[in-house]
Amino acid sequence: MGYIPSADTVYAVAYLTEVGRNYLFNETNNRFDNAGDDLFEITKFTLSDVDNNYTLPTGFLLESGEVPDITGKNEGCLKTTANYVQSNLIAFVFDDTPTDVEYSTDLNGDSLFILESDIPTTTESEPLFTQVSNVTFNGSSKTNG
Amino acid sequence: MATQNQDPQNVYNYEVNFTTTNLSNGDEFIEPHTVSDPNGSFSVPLNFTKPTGNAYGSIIVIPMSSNSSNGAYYLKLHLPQPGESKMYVTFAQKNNSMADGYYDYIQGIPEDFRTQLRLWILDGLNQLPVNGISKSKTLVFTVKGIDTNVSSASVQFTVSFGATFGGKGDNILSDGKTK
Repeated sequence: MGYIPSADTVYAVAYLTEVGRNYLFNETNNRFDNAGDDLFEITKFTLSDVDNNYTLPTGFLLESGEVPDITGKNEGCLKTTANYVQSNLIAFVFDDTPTDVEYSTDLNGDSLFILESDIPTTTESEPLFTQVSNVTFNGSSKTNG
Repeated sequence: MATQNQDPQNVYNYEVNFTTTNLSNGDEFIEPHTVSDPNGSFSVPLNFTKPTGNAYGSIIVIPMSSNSSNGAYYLKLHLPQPGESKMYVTFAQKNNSMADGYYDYIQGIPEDFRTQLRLWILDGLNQLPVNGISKSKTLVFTVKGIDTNVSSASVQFTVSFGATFGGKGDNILSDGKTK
């Protein structure tokens, strides 16, 4: 257990869980789910005294209004932040998502008109593709036999 | 090894951007958007597929003809990538050497593609009036925000492909052109 010192400036330190760090660095391309939601986005947080030691003698216990730092003296303390669900703590949710909205496009009248004659003609070479039963080169196919 | 297409914004494309307005304060609310499958009113049922390759986001491809083998021409719809709010329309060729199975043309379309695009726009129509006429084929989409997810506020938008046919009172040739 540790104390945040009394000073003019108070710093709040956030520790990421292992899963949070995994999302942050996105090494396995898992940051976004199928719906496109950013799994690293912090949508809620909790305040708790999970590092509080109630066995300390009087005088060393936290007093009203004090918040414990998480690190304390135990160097392995961060391992206690492995991902798990806390269900019995007060949660504070960032929820400013509006419910009265208007969706729109940048199209004039929400319509895009593509005129065939406006599309330029290209003579670029497509990459070669392979075909099992035929011999094929750039879209020209010759059937065996 | 499969070849990756260029980012669709770097090839010949048509781009659509989406926004959400927070009506409680008039400010833009930043969020990703999701777009529905294309639909519309067609004489010939609209044929499209959703390939699952290594594409830049999810794609929908629409064949220009009944040919679906390598070398066939397709419209490619690049739906909004996760976390983004824009889609692209590009022109592609079926190509199994590409990561997503379809090569995005960089500069435009080949003449053969143009011919098939014109036939696709006709939507099964095989005879035109005496005078030249412009025809179009319209795809209808619905878009809404993913975070706000207010279905009642979803908005429809259309992507239409148009061309002019005839002009001499002649019928349409099998190649999509007129006599």
